[in-house]
Amino acid sequence: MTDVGNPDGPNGSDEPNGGRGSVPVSGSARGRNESPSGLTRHPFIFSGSAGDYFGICIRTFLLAIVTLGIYDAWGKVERRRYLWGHTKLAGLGFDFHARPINILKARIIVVVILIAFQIATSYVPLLVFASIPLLFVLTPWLVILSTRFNARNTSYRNVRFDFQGRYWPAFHVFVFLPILMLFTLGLLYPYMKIRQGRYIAENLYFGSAPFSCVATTEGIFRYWMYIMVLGLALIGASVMIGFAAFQADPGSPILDPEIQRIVTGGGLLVNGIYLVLFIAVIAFQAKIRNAIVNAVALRGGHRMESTVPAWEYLGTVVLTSLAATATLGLMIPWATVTLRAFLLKHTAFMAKDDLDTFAAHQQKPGSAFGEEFAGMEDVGGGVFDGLG
Amino acid sequence: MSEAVKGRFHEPGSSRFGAATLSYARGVFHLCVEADGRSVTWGRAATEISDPVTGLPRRFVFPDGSAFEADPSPALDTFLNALGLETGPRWRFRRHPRLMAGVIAATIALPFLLWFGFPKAMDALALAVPESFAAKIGSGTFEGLDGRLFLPTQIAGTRRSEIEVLFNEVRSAAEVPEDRVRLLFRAAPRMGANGLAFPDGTIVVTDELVRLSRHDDEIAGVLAHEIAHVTERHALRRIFRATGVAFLIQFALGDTVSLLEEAATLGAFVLELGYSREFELEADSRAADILRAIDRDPARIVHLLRRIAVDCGGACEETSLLSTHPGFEDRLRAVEE
Repeated sequence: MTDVGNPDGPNGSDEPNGGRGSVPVSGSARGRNESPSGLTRHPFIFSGSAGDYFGICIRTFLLAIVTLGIYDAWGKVERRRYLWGHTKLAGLGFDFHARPINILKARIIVVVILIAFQIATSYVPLLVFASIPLLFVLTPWLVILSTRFNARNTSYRNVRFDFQGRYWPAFHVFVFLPILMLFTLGLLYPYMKIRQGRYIAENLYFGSAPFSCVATTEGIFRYWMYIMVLGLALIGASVMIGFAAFQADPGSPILDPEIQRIVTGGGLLVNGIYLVLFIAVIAFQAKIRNAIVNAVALRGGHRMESTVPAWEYLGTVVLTSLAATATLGLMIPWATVTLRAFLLKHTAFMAKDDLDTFAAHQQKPGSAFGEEFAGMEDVGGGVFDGLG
Repeated sequence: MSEAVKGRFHEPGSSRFGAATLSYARGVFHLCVEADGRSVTWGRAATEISDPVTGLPRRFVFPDGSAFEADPSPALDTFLNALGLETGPRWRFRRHPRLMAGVIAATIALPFLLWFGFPKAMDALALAVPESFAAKIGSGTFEGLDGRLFLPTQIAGTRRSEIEVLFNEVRSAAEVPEDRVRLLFRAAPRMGANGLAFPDGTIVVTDELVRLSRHDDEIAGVLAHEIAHVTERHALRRIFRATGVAFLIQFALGDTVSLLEEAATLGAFVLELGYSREFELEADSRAADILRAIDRDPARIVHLLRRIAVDCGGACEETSLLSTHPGFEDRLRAVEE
């Protein structure tokens, strides 16, 4: 297991116990750079280690199995507390406050609903068709509940985040745009992703301070055009070998060697294009993330910065996924930590002045239901996590 | 009074914080803020202390929303131990010794519970559901296959009525109401000699099987076997066990590890194969009971099975009665018992 803790990170030695009302002088000189715009650059640092996280995952996993899943609610909170606690900004970590018992209750409700639905569909099979529009209707609501739950239970410097998203804007970006994207054969994909990121960021609060986001597809759309051209080439090549194979007498068991050569070569070509396309789409995710995060601002003149290099991101994603797959999931904790550390290394908070002036805002902790339902049904989960 | 521990004090309602020390005496925390020398006290009972997470500070959250945070250190551990709080990697064992002992016991017992207890629990559930629900599950399965895998029968009407009489004889011996099962004849050239029971009570006998049989007891054996599948709710029990396993996996692993989930699902499939053998043996012994009750020879079905093995060869190795009803030798034993 590789230790991915940042050696420059404030690992206890430079405790940010500076004087009241001033920015704690933390970490290396690289940690604080006055930029020309008068903003102070605070890079995010991940101080956790893959070994520690592996230990937590294995223990919570085994306990979850033994307790028929009940313990996983506690495990989930511990894993999040570890990941967020070691996500450090200006020397201090984030904290996750969700109560496991609430997560457990939410899970039980979700399970009961799913069972009830299963039983109902065996009596009225047509209900299966009703579930698709129902999912459309529920998705925005689940995204909102889930994001709000995560935001309200995450804090930095004893100040909680909040999420105030409304239903119809969420419907627009999480239901309408994906459908529109399908009908435009994926042309709108970057627009959809940007709008989804904006929706989350624009409704997010740190204490009482709102975030804003002015991201557009400008600057990244042309990369998507290259990918679309590649996609069209893939479709074209597939059609052509399909045609070549069709021209061969379908009755004869042995194809004409000439045609067979075309079909084999064409098959290789199609696979090749497919691989390049797959790689390009992963690399494009980094461009989207940069575009969204770079356009995020926090009231008070603060900004965010994301400079994730697309190719390095691709390499990290491929490496971590392969490792996780090859070890049947055993290296998932390592993969999680590695990817997180990589993304955080390329993310920074650009502070206007010090970070002491944020006011907290009282709110309820939010319901875990949306989060758990989304988690079990794979609907728009982890949006908040993705923002880093 | 315990020795004070150094840390950060987070002001209530703001992102402001500063250096502070915390000490404890007789149920009260004394907080001393370094910058202005302020001193605050909070009762122990009203203070919430966070559970340890590897490498992270412990938080003391006070009723007004302010918080004291101390990074992990030996001094902090001493401070917490003096409060009667557990520290170190095995703090859970120290805090809940009995619960953790139970968990360890459960870990050891779990494989046995899963292997023996779980199928029993699912069976009880499958047998407890009302008849109307049981018949509804999988009610379209046969209709879906009819016309594709099953073609119209070529067996002469007189032979069919003879077998129907036989069917009714077996059915009443098995004490099954008339509307719970129905017998259909179908040609199944792609499947070969076989008898099938569908969850809704439809029993199909293939033309190939009828042609291969030389004695009524053989066919009665097949019919009794399939009726036993229906009365013992084997299809439903199989569905419950399979979905139960899938559900357990989903619930136990939650959002943790999707690949392990795949592996576990594969395991469930292997388990499922074992279940199907168990159900075949159960149907065989039940069929033997039924045949004995109407003075027919339960061992005759073995002759039919042998004939299928000879007749079929490679053509229907995958789909005949032999392969969908596994364990030829075991079944011989079950029938003879």
